[in-house]
Amino acid sequence: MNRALCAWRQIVSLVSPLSIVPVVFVSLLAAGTSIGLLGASAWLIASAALMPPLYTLSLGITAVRAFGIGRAAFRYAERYLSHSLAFSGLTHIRLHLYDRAAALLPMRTGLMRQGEFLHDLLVGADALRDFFIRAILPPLAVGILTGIATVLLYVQIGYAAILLPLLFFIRLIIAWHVKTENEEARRAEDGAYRSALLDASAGADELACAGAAPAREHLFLPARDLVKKDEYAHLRETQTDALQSVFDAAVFILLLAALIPSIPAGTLTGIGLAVWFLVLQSLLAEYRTLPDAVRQAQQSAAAALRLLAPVEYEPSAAQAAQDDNMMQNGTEEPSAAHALLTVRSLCFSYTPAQHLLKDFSFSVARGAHTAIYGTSGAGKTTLAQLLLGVWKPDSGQIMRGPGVEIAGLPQGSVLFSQSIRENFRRFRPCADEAAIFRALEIAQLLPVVETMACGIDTPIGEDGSFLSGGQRTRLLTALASAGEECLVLLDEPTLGLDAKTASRLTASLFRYAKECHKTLLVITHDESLRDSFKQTIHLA
Amino acid sequence: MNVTNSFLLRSLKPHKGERIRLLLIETTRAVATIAAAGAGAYAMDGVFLAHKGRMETAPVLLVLFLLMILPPLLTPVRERISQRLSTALRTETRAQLHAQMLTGKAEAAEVRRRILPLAREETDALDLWFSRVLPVLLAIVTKMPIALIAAAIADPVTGLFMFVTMPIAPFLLYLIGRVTRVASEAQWKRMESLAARFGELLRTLPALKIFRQAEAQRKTVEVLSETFSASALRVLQLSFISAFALELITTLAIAIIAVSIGFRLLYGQMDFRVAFFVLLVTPEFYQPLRQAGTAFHSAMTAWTAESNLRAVLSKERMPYAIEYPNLPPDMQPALLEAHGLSFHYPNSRTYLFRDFNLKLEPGVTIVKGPSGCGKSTLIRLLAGLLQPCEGQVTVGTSPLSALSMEAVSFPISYVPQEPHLFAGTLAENVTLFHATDEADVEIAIRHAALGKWLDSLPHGLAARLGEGGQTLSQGQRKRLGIARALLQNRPIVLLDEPTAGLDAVTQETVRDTLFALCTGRTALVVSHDEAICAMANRVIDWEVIA
Repeated sequence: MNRALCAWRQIVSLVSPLSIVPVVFVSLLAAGTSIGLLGASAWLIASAALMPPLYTLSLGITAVRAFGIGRAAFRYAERYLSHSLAFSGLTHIRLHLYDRAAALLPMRTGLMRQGEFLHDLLVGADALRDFFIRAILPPLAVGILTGIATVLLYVQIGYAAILLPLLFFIRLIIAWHVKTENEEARRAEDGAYRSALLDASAGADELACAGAAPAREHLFLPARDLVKKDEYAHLRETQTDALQSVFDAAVFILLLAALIPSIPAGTLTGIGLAVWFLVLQSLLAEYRTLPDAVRQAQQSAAAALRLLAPVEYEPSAAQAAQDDNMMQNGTEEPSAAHALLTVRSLCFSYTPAQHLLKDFSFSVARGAHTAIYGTSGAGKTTLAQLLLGVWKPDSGQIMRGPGVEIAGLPQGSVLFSQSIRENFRRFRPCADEAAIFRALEIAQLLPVVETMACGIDTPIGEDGSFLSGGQRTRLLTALASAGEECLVLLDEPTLGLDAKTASRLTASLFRYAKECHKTLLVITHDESLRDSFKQTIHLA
Repeated sequence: MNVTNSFLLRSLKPHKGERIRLLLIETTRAVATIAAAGAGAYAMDGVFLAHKGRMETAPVLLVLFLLMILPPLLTPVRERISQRLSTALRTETRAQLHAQMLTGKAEAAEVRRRILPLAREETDALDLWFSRVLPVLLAIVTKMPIALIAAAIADPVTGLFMFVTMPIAPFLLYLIGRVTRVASEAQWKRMESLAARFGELLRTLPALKIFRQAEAQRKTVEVLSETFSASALRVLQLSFISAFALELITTLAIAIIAVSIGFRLLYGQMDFRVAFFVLLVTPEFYQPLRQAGTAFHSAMTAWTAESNLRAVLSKERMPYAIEYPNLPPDMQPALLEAHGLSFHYPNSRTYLFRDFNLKLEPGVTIVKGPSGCGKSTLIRLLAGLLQPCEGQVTVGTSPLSALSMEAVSFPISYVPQEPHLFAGTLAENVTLFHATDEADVEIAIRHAALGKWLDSLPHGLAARLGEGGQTLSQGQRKRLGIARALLQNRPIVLLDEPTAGLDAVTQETVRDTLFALCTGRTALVVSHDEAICAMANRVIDWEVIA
């Protein structure tokens, strides 16, 4: 509960408190006119039953009509204002989430976790946005109206009036407890099902070929458990709602019974009782919005705890890319001084006992194009990521010569879907039209671009899914070679290329390196490239 | 949106008993609500005009209390029925998705790619039909007519007024919908694409960071988010108009009825009890209409999810678990042929190969050549895991597409380059969850040269693999793939790079197990391992055949 309070305070701090006031006011008017419409109608009818002169009713008639129109108008205003308030906070929330993602991505724990993190982030942004509309406004408006009604009732029936706020708080407390239990259990079931789905999807080919019936059975269990949990939670909610409605009815009857003796006592007229009848009834109808509000409040709090908490930097993982100092300018040794890049005793693993890279050392001198060979699983892309500063090594050093910059995109980097141009615009904002075409030419992509409907403005699909594997690799190469960096790192540049294109690409890369005084560092499994490089290193 | 064809009505259709029970419960709830209005009016009349005291009114109040709590107490009963239907629908949808994901059909790739959103959010959104839409629909068909009849009996004028206003709401909604549909559809699309671009920006962050552009793209986040908010508000403005119209109709109707009965009371044409009863019934009559707005919104969400699911689920229901007949023994095929195969991936126009022919006979055939040019694709085509654009694969005399992978007699084993480690026991990882004799599993493991490793595991075949479990080296993983094929014991085996990425010693062990597997079968191995080529009956150079 305390943690939730903290979380809410953080969400509230995303918008200025003054901007909340008009929304709350309008929301109060909307709920108030709704109750007022029925109260005024009751007054009108009860008064009319006593057959007074017509003019005494005119106030009631006007009130009924005004409340009728006002109710719809205020409801509209409430919706509009609360949504624009929510959306004005959205930019704030999204920037915050973006910064958080920028600090934490990519995740060493793997793509699966990363996907879940991003999913959480996007869903969480909505949960935070809806906090005001769905979690704050309804209880606040209903609470204030309850307060007003309690004071007015107190005048009539004394301490019995306390029943009304008591009911209000009991409803909030019950709703809070039911939801907390359900939420945690559901997250666990959902996690189990999610893992099972990803597992089956990754091994789908083998399962399909082996006959997938038992695997389907295996997947069916977590799927059924999840739905069962949902069903159970839903039924529990409806049961608690039913229970709360019984409380509502009891409180309503008790208050009515408490009001009846006021009539012979002369402190309340029959007209007043009729008004109370409908006012209480419609106030209690508003109470039915409370469970949903509590649910939203809990979701928002959970999202805030996950997403708004200050980022704890994983020292070895997150900071590295932003922290250029890790690339020390090596001047201690003469050999290192001439080298563009020196790697010494590099160690790295994703899990404690993995030892993916162990005591790996090499150096690259200016102009000494280097190929690093390794088979799949030898840590090639990991090495690329380490050299590009995505992660910090577990131990050992990566040192760059003075003023040396390195460019490259590891395999599996996500591309923008809009177009090839969009990718240059975002990753290489300095590249003009000529530079883009030059890079595409180097990467042997020009013939491909010519066949595309709108050239470099053609959409390339989510993460470049309209491109073939080879085209995608070449786009990564083009992006890597479009800058001023003197060291160009290419991760598997010939992957997915036929032999002819591959050899054209290699030739073109060497030509480009020579013309622009660049040094190539190629990480590959393709042994046919071996002879072209001055230096070859084996990654075991 | 076509409600009659929706999953909601389709799941209600075969369950006549449930339908009747739902209607009965709702009718009871509606009658109780109206009766409560009657009791309330009676009690008020007694206190107000007959000056009854608390004790005299108590019995009426007790009846009122009982009538008030009956509808909420019946809600869980209704929900239990509708949730059972919802659970059945969602379970079935998920089972279909699982089945679709684990086939070699063309749609499988799309399902695998989007399995998480499809099986989680989209399937869960189907519940909106039952939890949000169905109650309102039921109220419209039960509560509204019952309230109308009760009001008409008590006061025909009010009844007539209600009857006349009833169709105004849907008509007005239809008009507003027509006017705003085009605009709001365009805005919806825009919003979706803006939301997608924010997601994309987050996914590209690791690459942006490498180029030091993460900071610069904050501006994009701001612009995207502000455009998104503007679009969203425009859509909401439109949908608020319909909500406003509904709200206005209902509140104005209540106001008009209240004033009208007030006048008739004043002129003595009506008595108070009836008037108060009508006043209590009126909001109940209009309540389903007021809820129609949010129900419509939920229906749209459910419908969108449903359409996304329809797009990937195959038209014909996938059999859940059917025993296929085994092929007759003389059909036991060992001859795998490709006739004029052409293939390109759906998103690409470049053919990986065209008019490709291959005839595999018993013995070991090696295909060698540079990687990444379609050899793995060929193997998946031959295994039936991809569908050729043209041409066909035959096994013996029958086309591969006519054989079911579900059948015990499916003739092909497939060992991918990186066999997947499933979260499960070692035994499950070898059998791929099939029920098999443990002794056979152990034999397969030992033949795949994993015997020593098995003996070193404290839990043996029950050892957990996969996330958080026992880890395997590259070589062990490859041998696990071979153990799977050994256990399946099928006439044709297709192996993708069985020794790639291994050191010399491990390569040697894997080669030995490979011999054990391929002997007496028709085997196609993609590899450029010279030692494997040496053991082959036939070596094909990819560059020559493709």
